[in-house]
Order: sequence, then C-alpha cells, then structure tokens
Amino acid sequence: MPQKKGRGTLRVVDGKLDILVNINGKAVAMKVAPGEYLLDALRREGYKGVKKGCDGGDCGTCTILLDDKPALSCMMFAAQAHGRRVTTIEGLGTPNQPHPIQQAFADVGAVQCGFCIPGMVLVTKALLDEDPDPDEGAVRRALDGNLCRCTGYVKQVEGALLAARRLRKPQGAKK
Amino acid sequence: MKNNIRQFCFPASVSEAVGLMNRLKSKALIVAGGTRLARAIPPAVDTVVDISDLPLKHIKADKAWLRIGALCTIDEMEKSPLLARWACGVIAKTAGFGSNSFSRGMGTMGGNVVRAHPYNNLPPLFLALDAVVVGTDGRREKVLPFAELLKPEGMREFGSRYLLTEVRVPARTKKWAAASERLALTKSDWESYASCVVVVDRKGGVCRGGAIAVSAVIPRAARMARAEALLAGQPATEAIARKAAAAVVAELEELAAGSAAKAYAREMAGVLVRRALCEAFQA
Repeated sequence: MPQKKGRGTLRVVDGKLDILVNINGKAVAMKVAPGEYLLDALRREGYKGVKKGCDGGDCGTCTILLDDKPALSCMMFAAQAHGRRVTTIEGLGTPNQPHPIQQAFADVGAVQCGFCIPGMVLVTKALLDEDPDPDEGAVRRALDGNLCRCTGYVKQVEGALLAARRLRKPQGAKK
Repeated sequence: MKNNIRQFCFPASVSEAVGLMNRLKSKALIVAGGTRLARAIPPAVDTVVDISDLPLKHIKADKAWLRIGALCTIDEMEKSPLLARWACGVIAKTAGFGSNSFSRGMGTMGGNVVRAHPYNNLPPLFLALDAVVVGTDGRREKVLPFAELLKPEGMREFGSRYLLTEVRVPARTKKWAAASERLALTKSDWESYASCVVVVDRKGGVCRGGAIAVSAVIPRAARMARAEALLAGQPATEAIARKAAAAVVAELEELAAGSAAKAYAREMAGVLVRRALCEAFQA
C-alpha cells in the first residue's frame, strides 16, 4: 500500500488507471477510467451502500470517509483515492452486528426509506471520533450536508446523540 | 464523462507541483479539495495534479504576520484556536459561512480565494484584513496585495504561473474589532444575496480607521473606500454606522450603473454593513 506522501504518478494504459485503495481495511486494486468518479467506481466494486443521489455534491448520500474525514465520493475522481483509506458503510457493521451508531439510529426510528442513512451514519462516526460528547448544535451542523426527504431530521439527531451516549459508556455498562 | 485525462500526478513537494504546472501549463488541472473542479474539466486538460499531499496546512503567527496555508480546509480554519482569537474571531466565523459540512471539510482556503467566485466567503475577509497572497513559481516567492489577486491578471498568474502557498494577514489586525454578516436563503446556502466584513481600528471609543469589504452583490469582492473614509476619526456610534452603510449603498449603486438588478441586495448590503459595524463597535 503506498503511503499518502509520494503517491507518484498514475498513467492511463489501455484507457484505464490502476489504483490501489484501502477500502474498509483491505487493500483493493481497481481499474478505473481517468474521468471516473469515486462514487461510480465504489458502486461497481460492490459497495452499494454508497448511494448515488444528486450526483453533484448537494445531497450527501454518496458520503464516504476518506482518511477518516467525511467526503463526497461524487465530487472526486476515483484516482484521487489512490493510496488513501476509504471507509464505506459496509465497513462499519453488519445486519447481525450493527455498529452502535447504526443501532442507535434504528432504536430511535431515524430510518424511513433509508437512502440517506449510510451517509448520515458515516458523518456521525467522524463527528463522534473527533468529539465524543457533541451537543445538539454540533450534531446538526455536522449533518447539515446530508439531505433527508422523509424526515425532519429530528430522529437522526436523536440517534446521533444516543449513539454518543452509548459510545461514551464503558463496555458492559447498562445502556 | 468525456475528458482527455492521460495521467494523475501527486506531487510531494511544492517545487515538484510548480514544475508540473509550469511545464504542462493549460494541460494541467490543479485540484486540492476538489469540490467543484472535478465536475468541470476543460478539454485541454490531460493531467490532473492533485496537490493535497503538499505541506501547506499551517495556521501560525509570528511578529509580522498570521500565516494560513493554502491547503487548510475551511473546517480547520473554523476550528483553529488561533483564528478564534484573531480580530474578534472574524476569520473563524466567516470561514464557516455558507457551506455545509462537506464543503467545510473538503474545501481549501486556496481554492476559495484562487477560484474567487463572488459568493465565496474568504475574499472579502482577506480584503478587509489587508492580507497579502504568497505564491511561488519554483524559484522565487511572489507576494501580492489581496486586491491584486482578485483582478483578472492576478487570477491568471496565480492560476498558472504561481502556486498559491499561503495568505498572510498583518499582525497589527490581531486586536482590531471586526465582524461579518451575510444574507442567504439558508445558513448553509453557498449563494448569498450580499455579504460583508468590517474591521475597525478603535481607541477610546473613536475609530482611527476601518475597512469595509462587500461581496456577492457585486461580481467580485471590493473595499468600499468612501464609506471607510467616513469612519476615520469619528466616534464609534450607531449614527456613524448608518452613514457608512448609506455610503456603501450609494457606492454599490454607482457600480451597478443604474441597473435595477439586485437593488434589493444592495439595500441589504447596507443593512449588513450597519449591523456589522455596530457589532464591531461593541466588541
């Protein structure tokens, strides 16, 4: 896996670029078109939790974590992820073992159609990694790039705050 | 999407990046935060130069200057303890204007000023703070007053020959009173109707001088010279804030040359300037 510094030069061969990306902890080699966006490359590789919404940087459904920071995968070339660490929603939990943030969102009823939820969960993950005890204002500000057409955002904010409380408790403590 | 990209380069040093820029000229597209450019690639471009690995993420101060690296994200500026203390926190506050969490986290200071759209929040801020921009062509440093960067020739030079490395704000502004205001449809809306930044050098309730920069309502951010002249030597009161605001509206009317377009926004620019001045007077 190349280090972030000194990622060198990628050249197009037979219309494709060979990139190497750490996705959810695994080194993944991908062939991508030179103008292909990371969103499309990830979905083609099977990471369908990365949603294609507006495809223009407005809705936040294509959120990934790039080196642990939220990023819009529709606004960057796939090649820009070369040598970097990408986390998608598939890297957080599974249906049987959801991540505490996913569980909290489910518990408060934050999920309606669910299309925006992967992005919101990832943004919440980045927020709580940086600030384990955010107030409601901080949560709302962190989620201000993720649009939801079903809800009034109240439940997602509740979910994020619940997840923060649960993650702050020591392991084994009563919820 | 259709494009003619043949390679992606990830320079690890400023000199390597400038070398690529100068060698490839219009064939190179420089991206950092990449929030917009990835969606608008000119057909001449065959090389994407991703400068996000360059060591230009500093926010630091010395005796002469506050220095903000070109690759600092808006988020880093907004959360910087140093910027929160500088000029009543106006830099940190203004950096967070008109953007959502992704723009703040991905967008860079350099992109915000080099691609200086009238809605961008940082150009009026740096204009009001008498900042200078610093770039390099690989051999020597070029320092330019911020207002010069906003002119077409400044934009051409810093988009091709010189790589923007940092913006410097004079240390004398650290204790100045300052405030910023903007009017937009929503808090996170990038497009605003009008925005302003005011900076006041004040002693004992009297303005020794001040700067008023307005943007969004005009094609590029500009200082309002006549309104600024009204402040010098005057008591820091709401009455003088009203006079200065009226002068701003008059100056904007002249710039609009009688056009009825944006008349409402020009009026609102005056309101914002008055509010910002009153806030700065009380700071």
